[in-house]
Amino acid sequence: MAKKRYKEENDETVMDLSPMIDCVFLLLIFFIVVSVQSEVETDPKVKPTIASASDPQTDTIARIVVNVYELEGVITFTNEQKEPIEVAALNRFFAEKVADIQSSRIDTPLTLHLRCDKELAWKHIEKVKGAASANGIAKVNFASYQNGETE
Amino acid sequence: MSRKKQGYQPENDEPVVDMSSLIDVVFLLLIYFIVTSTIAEEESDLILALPNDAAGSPDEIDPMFFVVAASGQIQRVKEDRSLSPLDGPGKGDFEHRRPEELPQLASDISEYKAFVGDEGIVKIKVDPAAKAQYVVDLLNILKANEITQITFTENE
Repeated sequence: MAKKRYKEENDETVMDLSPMIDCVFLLLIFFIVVSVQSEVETDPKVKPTIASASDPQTDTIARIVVNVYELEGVITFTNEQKEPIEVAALNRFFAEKVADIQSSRIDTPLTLHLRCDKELAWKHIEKVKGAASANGIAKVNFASYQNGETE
Repeated sequence: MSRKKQGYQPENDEPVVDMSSLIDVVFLLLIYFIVTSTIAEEESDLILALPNDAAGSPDEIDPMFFVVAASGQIQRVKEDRSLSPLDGPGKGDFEHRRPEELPQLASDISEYKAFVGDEGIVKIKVDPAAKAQYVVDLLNILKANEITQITFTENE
């Protein structure tokens, strides 16, 4: 009896981990493959406008991204940092960005990539657009969703 | 014979790879990807060339002129400067209006496009209080008709 017990202890059940590793690897590969890194700096607080005729995003070269939305009652524009929307701050921001892009010798025309909240009043957009235009940016891209159903 | 038996023994004691550390690493990677990835709809581009209003537009082509009111109502400015309201006001919850929800506007724009071809120019005056989505509804129909020369103006 004692001998039998000793034998059972030696034959401990071993869990075969290989199918689990298969599953985990499959999940890992799935997440790596399906995740697409955003090419422009997006602020999740912005609820962009919806335009069914908008084109899928291709290249993002020479784009100056500005997120505009209301934060605690103040209209704010963000890129690296949050700042209240004021003409002087916008001009400073655009001048820096334009200088950065021009120093890297990119020939593509500059584009203002405007991520504005769909509920934002036009006067704020006009302010951003005006500052961009004053700094030599002639194209404006309203970042939009093609389809609002999945919101 | 006895040698053969001795040679057989090491096969039973095969080295076993400890998988647990591998699983630890793979799980860490998996958790990282699950936590950092957010499911978001891909954004698309509505790129517009904005000619400077001060520079003026070529006189050969009569630009189409629209006014977007604070309510989202889009009005067409006629040649005699009178306003002709097109379709209804914007939706209260600032939801987008599909081109089929703005039939008068869509038909006016496609008529203009058919008349001027690729050189169509549109002037838009927007009420400062109008919401961004109301303006984008108009830009969306212009884009669908391949009109991208758009001037935002403050004067009628």
